[in-house]
Amino acid sequence: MNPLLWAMAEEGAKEATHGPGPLAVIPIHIPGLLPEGLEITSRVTTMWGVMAVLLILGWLAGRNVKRLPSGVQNVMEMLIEAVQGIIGQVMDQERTRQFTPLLTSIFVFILASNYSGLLPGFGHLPGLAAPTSGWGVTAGLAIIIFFSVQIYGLKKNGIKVYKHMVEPWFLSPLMLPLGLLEEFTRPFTLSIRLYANIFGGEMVVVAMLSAIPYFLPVLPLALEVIFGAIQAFIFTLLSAVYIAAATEDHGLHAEHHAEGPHGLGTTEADALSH
Amino acid sequence: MEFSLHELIWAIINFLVFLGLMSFLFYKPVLKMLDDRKNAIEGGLARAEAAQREADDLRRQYQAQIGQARTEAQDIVATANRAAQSAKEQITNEAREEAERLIQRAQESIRVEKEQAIAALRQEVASLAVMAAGKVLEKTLTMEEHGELARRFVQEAGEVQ
Repeated sequence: MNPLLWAMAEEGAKEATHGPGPLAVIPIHIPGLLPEGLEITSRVTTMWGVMAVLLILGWLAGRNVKRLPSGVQNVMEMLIEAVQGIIGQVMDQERTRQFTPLLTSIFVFILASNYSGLLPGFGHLPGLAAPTSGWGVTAGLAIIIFFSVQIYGLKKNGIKVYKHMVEPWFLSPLMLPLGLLEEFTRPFTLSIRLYANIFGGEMVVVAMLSAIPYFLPVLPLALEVIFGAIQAFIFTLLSAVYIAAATEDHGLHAEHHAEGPHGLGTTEADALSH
Repeated sequence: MEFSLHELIWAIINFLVFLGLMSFLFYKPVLKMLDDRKNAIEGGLARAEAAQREADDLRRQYQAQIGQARTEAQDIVATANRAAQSAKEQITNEAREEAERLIQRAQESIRVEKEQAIAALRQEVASLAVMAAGKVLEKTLTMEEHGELARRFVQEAGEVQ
């Protein structure tokens, strides 16, 4: 087996388990949290790269906005409409418009980050690493969604947004811990789902590389294209569901347990009836 | 497990900056334009529908008017036809009567002339007959006897006829 490729694969596996060294360090020392300052890793720089590309596209589409779109504006409009199609299934028109910027940004950010891992060089070259292939980044995104849910929910419904945790008053001692657990489980599952899928995809390609280097890795790479999009879609959709549940008009606030595609029960039925 | 607190913090910072910049550069103008476009299209559609309805109404009106005009025209033509027809009949009748009258007058004059001719002929024949008879009888008649014989001849000839 080609020793060079073997070495690369081994290095990749090592990086995966131990994490690459930081590229640079910003000396902000918070004892306990950031004892050595804030690191800038490959994933962070790639994130900046992804952001730059997306911002340029957004800027190109946003200047001289035309009624009859063409070129970049057209593509970006299709993007917005795609996301609005997704979230429109769980939210009414007004809220769809309100949350379009946040959710479109989440979708496009995750999508671009996932795909960045497929470009040549990413994963083993210094400074190039798919952002979403690390749990830190996905956790950061999930935390943003978590706080969005809480903040918008409280803004819209006040403390009543947590009503479902104490709903049958006599079952409160049971429901309250479960409710809280659920609330905190969501960002956890959100983040780990995305991380595991993208990281796992990368690992499969590395494994393929170390086994049969020349054509076999093409298969999982191709699959990664599909999965990257699916994961971005799922993250966005679930975020929309959580936000919709929290900002639901109080009378219909009957959101329940499971987050899987089947157990959306009342919320989805309510949302679909709009 | 690849967990890096640094990446987490950076992710949050980066995403919030990203969201802010995108809102400013892209969402604000494009979403506003989408709304404007939707309103313009709806306005345009509403106006198109109104114009269509108006066009349909006008068309119905015009067709009604055309129909009316056509009926009137047909009435006029029918009336004119009838008038022409009756005029034609009248003229033909008058012509026929005139013709009959002419024929009768002609026949009348023919009859008169014929009778006149016959009377003249009779006279001639009588004269000739008397002359012939005189010759036969070797006797000459006087003018009066001549005339008397001729008159008698004509009478008998007329009775036989």
